[in-house]
Amino acid sequence: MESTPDKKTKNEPENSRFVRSGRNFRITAGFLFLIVSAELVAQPGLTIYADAGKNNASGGLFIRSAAMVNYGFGKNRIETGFQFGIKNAGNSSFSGFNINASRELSFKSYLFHLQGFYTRKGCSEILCETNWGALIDMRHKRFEIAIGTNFRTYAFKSGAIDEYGINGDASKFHENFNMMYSIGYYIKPADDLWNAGLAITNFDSFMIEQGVNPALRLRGLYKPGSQVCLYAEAWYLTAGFLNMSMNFFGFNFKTGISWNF
Amino acid sequence: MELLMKNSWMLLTAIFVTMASCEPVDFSFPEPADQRFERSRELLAEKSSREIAVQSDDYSILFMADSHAGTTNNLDRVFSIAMATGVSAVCIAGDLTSGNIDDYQEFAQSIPDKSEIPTYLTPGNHDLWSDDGWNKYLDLFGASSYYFTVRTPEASDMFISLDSGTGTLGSKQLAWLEDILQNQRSLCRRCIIFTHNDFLRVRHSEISNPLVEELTVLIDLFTRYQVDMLIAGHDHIPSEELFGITDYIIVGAISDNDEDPNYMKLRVENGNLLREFVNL
Repeated sequence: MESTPDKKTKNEPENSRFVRSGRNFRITAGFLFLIVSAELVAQPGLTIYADAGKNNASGGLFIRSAAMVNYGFGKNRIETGFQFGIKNAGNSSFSGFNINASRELSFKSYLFHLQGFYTRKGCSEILCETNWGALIDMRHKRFEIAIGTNFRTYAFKSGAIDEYGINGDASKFHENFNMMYSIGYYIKPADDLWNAGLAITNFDSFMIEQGVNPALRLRGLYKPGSQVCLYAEAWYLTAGFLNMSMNFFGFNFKTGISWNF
Repeated sequence: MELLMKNSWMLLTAIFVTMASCEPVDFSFPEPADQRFERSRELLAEKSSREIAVQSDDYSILFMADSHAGTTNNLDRVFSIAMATGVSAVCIAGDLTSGNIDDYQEFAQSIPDKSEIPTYLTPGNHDLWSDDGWNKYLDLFGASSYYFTVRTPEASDMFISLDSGTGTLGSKQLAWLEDILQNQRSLCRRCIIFTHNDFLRVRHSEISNPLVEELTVLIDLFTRYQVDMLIAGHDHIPSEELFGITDYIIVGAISDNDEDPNYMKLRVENGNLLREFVNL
């Protein structure tokens, strides 16, 4: 009977564990140094919102809530968030997750944010939707514009693949290079105490619609302190808009608070 | 109005109040999907159920879409082929016309008598464009949301027509579909849905697909109730994509203006579904 050689004795010299340990220590120390350095200029933040509405597919009123934490250091920012379905919003209470990283860029007098993101939503007991992509946004005076692309995958969950006998190749469907956009106008400059604006867009924190199905978003915001922002949004969703046969699809109201510590 | 224009914040407040009312203003154009569905149901209540009886367990149905009448040369050719080859029915998945209400009459003249070959229609976005497009459709062709069955000596197969002409099924039609699948599906061997809008976005285009939230509900239903095929038009380019247990098929356009007009022949042989795209 052939014995299985010990990987360590076969492939590595005896002192390799110490070499690896030293390398791991340096990497860990490097990360710690970066984090500590970043702490000096870092700013964490928290956003919480609640969302309620109704649409053609929701089967009545839906209620959702979400919490997102962000951490800014220098010109960089990372954010992660969770969405919870409370009523008619998928079959599980934990209905969405997202993470994104962005960096501030400047060109002449214009400031941009370049963002990469990943989102996962559990649509139902048998299906989930994931998106990843990139987005660039710009705020100039009263205008806010964002444009980007996303790659969407609908995938059957493993339980459904077994239960319904779904072929492996047929368990996923990909959409590549979908268009994302948002064009908005605010009635006051960005740093005002309160503001209101209207936008046409096809995405939100946990939702990316097809580009052919634009939504109207009305946003009002108020800053009671320099680090706190209260906001409320009303959304109007349409179907068939680009085919000249437009149908009301749904509406929702969203209110939340953003707090930079 | 002048005051509103002068004060943009007042304009936004007015929009917000409108949007915040319990029942938001419905900007749908033309008739919304829910209203069309209700009219369809009223009309169907007056009619008997639709069933085709065939003598063999093997039969064929032709599917086509986007005839965009005006002219109907290709449409007439397909009907000639259908009658010559003895297919059991013809289904046309929307955009019967290009939007001119007068073209409905031209299209209707091409439809053979029911005794010659049963023809089943569903509207597309073009058919609903003109002011009276939906009413004209209803008068000439009847309901847009319905189902029919093909009864063979061995089993029955179900064919469901969905009205997706305005980019969404609407909440009422969606509830009806779920009810049909829940209560009727198990009585049938095969279930095939035909509609105008293609559901899966298989390529980049400016045509409408259902909203993501509606699509995921539909995929969920199709899987739970074993919908075998969804046959659509709208895209004008034929394609096929198996996702889950459902075959999402787009049939090409049959319009006289289309460079590659084609239709699809669905053959049912001992319960097996065999499809073939046919170029004219």
